[in-house]
Amino acid sequence: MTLSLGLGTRKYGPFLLSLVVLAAIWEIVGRTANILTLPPLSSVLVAFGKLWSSGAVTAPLFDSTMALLTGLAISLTLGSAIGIGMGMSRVIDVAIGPYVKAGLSAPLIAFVPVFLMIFGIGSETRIATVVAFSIFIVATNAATAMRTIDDRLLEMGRSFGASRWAIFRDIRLPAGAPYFVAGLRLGVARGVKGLINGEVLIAIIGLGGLVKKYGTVFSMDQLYAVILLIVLYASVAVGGVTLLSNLLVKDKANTA
Amino acid sequence: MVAARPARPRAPRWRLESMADRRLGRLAIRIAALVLFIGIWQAAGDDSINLLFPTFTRTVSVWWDLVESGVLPITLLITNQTLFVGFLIVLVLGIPIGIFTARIKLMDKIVSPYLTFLVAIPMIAIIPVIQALLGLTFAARVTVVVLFAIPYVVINTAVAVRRVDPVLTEMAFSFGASRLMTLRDVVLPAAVPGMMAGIRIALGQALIGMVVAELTIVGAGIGSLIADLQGRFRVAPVLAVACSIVIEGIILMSLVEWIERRLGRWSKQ
Amino acid sequence: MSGKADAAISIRSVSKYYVSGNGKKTKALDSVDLTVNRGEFVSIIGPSGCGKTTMLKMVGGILGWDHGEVEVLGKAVEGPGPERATVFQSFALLPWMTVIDNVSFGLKVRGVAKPERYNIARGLLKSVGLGDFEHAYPRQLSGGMQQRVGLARALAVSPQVLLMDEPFSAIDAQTRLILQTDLLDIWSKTDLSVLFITHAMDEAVFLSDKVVIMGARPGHVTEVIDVDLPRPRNEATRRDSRFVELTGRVWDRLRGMITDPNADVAA
Repeated sequence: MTLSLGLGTRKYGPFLLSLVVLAAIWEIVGRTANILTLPPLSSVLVAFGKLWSSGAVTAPLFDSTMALLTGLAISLTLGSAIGIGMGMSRVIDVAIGPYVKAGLSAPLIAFVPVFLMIFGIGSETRIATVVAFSIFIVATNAATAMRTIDDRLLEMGRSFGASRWAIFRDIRLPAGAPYFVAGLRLGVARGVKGLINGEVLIAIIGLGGLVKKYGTVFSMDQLYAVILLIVLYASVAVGGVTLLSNLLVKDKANTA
Repeated sequence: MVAARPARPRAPRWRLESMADRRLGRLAIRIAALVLFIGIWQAAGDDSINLLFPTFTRTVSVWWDLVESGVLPITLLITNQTLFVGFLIVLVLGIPIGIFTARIKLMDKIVSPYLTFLVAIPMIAIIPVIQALLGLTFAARVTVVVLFAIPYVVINTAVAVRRVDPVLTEMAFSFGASRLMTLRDVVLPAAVPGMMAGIRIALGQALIGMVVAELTIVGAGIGSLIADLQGRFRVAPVLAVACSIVIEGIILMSLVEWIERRLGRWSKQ
Repeated sequence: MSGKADAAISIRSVSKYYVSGNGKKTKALDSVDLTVNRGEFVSIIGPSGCGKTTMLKMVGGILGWDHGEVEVLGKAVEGPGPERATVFQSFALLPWMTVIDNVSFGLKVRGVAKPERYNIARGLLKSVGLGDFEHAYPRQLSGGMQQRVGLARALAVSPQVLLMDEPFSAIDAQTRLILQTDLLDIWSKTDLSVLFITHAMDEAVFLSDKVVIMGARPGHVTEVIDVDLPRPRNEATRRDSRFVELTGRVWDRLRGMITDPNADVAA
C-alpha cells in the first residue's frame, strides 16, 4: 500500500503541490489586493455552492445537455454514414473527401452568426454548432475504420462466398471498431467545445449564456463559479466518454 | 481491346469506381461534386427576403460587393493582425516550453496535467475574464488566440522531443557532442515532424480563437462588420464574410501542411 | 595502477549493478577482466543478458560501472574520447542528413571546417565502396549500405580504438559475409584495435584474434579462445577445418549456457 502511495506522490506530487500553491496565491492575492477581476478563491467556491444549491444552474445544465446529445446524435449517425461511404467507395471518397478534410480544420465557428440569423437564438443554433464541431472528426474516423481492414481478411471472406453485407457486418465493422470508438471520443470532446462556444456566442442560453450574463455585469465570483462549472462539465463529459471508449476497446481486445 | 487478363469481378458495377484510380477521373468526380454542391446550395437558397438563407449566386455577388468596396479586405486585414501576432507568440513561447517540458522531469510533472486539462476545456468560457482584465483591446484578442492554440504546440513539441530515438542522442554523445550541440543537431531536427503536426493543429485552434475573439471582444475587424450586418438582418453578406474566413483558414492550413510535408520528407519510408 | 603498455583496452575486475524500478539491486557484471592489445581484433560473444553491450558502452564512456578499472590506451575512461569511435547495431544514422553529412558528423562535433571534413568523408566513402552515394539519404540505402556509412562515420574521426556493437546483426546473411571480409580489408590497412560484440559464432571466429565467451546472471567471462587462423582471411578461411573446429568449440561453450537447465529434467 505504501509503495503505490509513494509512487503516486512521486508522480503527481509536484502537480498537486503546484495546485495548492496556486490556490493559496489566488486566495491571498484575492483577499489583499482587492482587485475586481480576482475575487478570492473562497468566495468563488461559496458562489459555486450557492449557484448549485439555488437551482439556478439546473435548468441551463439540463438544457445544454439535451442540445449536446441531440447534436452528437446527428453527428454520429450522419458522420458515420458519410465516413462509411468514403471508406467503402473511392468515388465518394474523392468527391467529398476534400470537404470533410477542410471541415475538420477550418474555422467553422465563423458560421455561428449565420446559424444565429437563420435559426434564431433557440436550441437549433447551438445544435448546429455542436454538429459543425463534431461531425467531421466522426466521419474521418469512420472512413479510417473502414479502410484499416487487412485485405487478406476481405479476400478470405469473399473466398467463402460471403455477401457484401456479411463482409461489412462481420469483418469490416469489428475490425474498424477501435476507430469508431476513437471517433466517438473525439466527437464528444469537440462537441462539448462546440456547445459552449455556440452558447457563449448566442449569449443567452444554457451554460454559455450564464457566462455572458455574469461577465457583462462583472459579477466576478459568480462568473468564476460558472467557468468552474463548465470546466467540470467538460471534464466529466470527456472523462466519461474516454472511460467508456477504453471499456469498449478493451472488451473487444479480450474477445478477439 | 479486350484484355486476355481475367475480367475484374462485377465489372459493370465497378466502372465508376475505377474512375477514381485515374487522375482525370478524379478531377471529373471532384468537379461533379462541386457542381452538385453549388446546385444544392442554389436550390436551397431563397433570396426573396434578406432574412432567409441566400442562394449561391447572391452570396457570391454580395461577396464581390464587399470586396470591391474594400470593406472586407480591410476588416480581414485587421482581424488577421490578431492571428499573426497571436500565432507568433504561440510559436515563440510554445516551442521552448515544450522542449523544457520534455527535458526537465519536474517541469513535465507540473506542466503536463495543466496542458491536458487546457486541451479538454472550452477556452471560450474565460473570455469574460480576459475582457475584464484587458478590456476591448487588441491585446485581449491576441491573448484569446494564444490561449486557444498554445497547449497544442507545447504538448506536441514535448512528445516529439521525448520520442527522439535515444540511440541517436547516444551516438552524438559518443562522438563527444555537448548537450547544446546534441539538442541543436540531433534532437530538434528529429523532432521537427512531430512539432509541425502540433503547429498545424494549433493553427486550426488559433483560427477558431481569432473568430471567437472577433465576435466577443469586438474591435474594428470582421467582428464589427458581422455585428453591423446582423443588426440590419442581412444574412447574405454575413454568410459571405463567414465563407471568406473559412476559405482563408483552408488556405493557411494547406500552406502549413505543405511545409509539414516538405520538412518531414525524410521521415517517410 | 596502469595496464600493460601495449594494451588498447584494459578492463580489470569490473563489476556493475543495475537498480530496477522497485529498488532492487541486480548484479549485471561480476568482476570481469578483459584485455585488447594494440592492433588486435577481439570479439565478445554470449547469450542475451550477459552484459556484453554494457561492457562496450563502458569502454565507450557512455555507461559507468561500480567497481574495478577500465582503461583505454593506458588512460582511465571518464567519458567518450576522441581516440574511440562506435559503430551501432541500429546504424544510428541521422535520417534528415545526406550520407556525406552523416559521415562527417563526428568531425563537425570536433569543429573541423566543412571543406576539410567533406574531404575526409569522401575518402572514407570510397574506401567503404559508397563513393557514388554521398548525396543520398539513409532511407534510400539498403541495411548493408547504411552500416557502411556507420563504419565510415566512425573511421572519419581517425580513432585508435573501434567499438562495434553487433554491427551486422540487422543485416541479411549474404550481405553480412561480404561486410565481414570488407571490414577485415579496411582494418588490415590500419593499426586499429577493435572490440566487436556479436551473436554469431562464425562471425566472431572469422574476424577475431581472440573470442571472449561470456556467461549471464551475472555477466562474467567464461573463456577466452585464441583464434590462430592465418591472416589475411578470405572465403577460403570459412572452409578451413581449423575454422570449423574453432566455431564448434565456441558453440560447445555457448550451448551449455543457452540450454535451459530444467530441460534436462523434463527430457
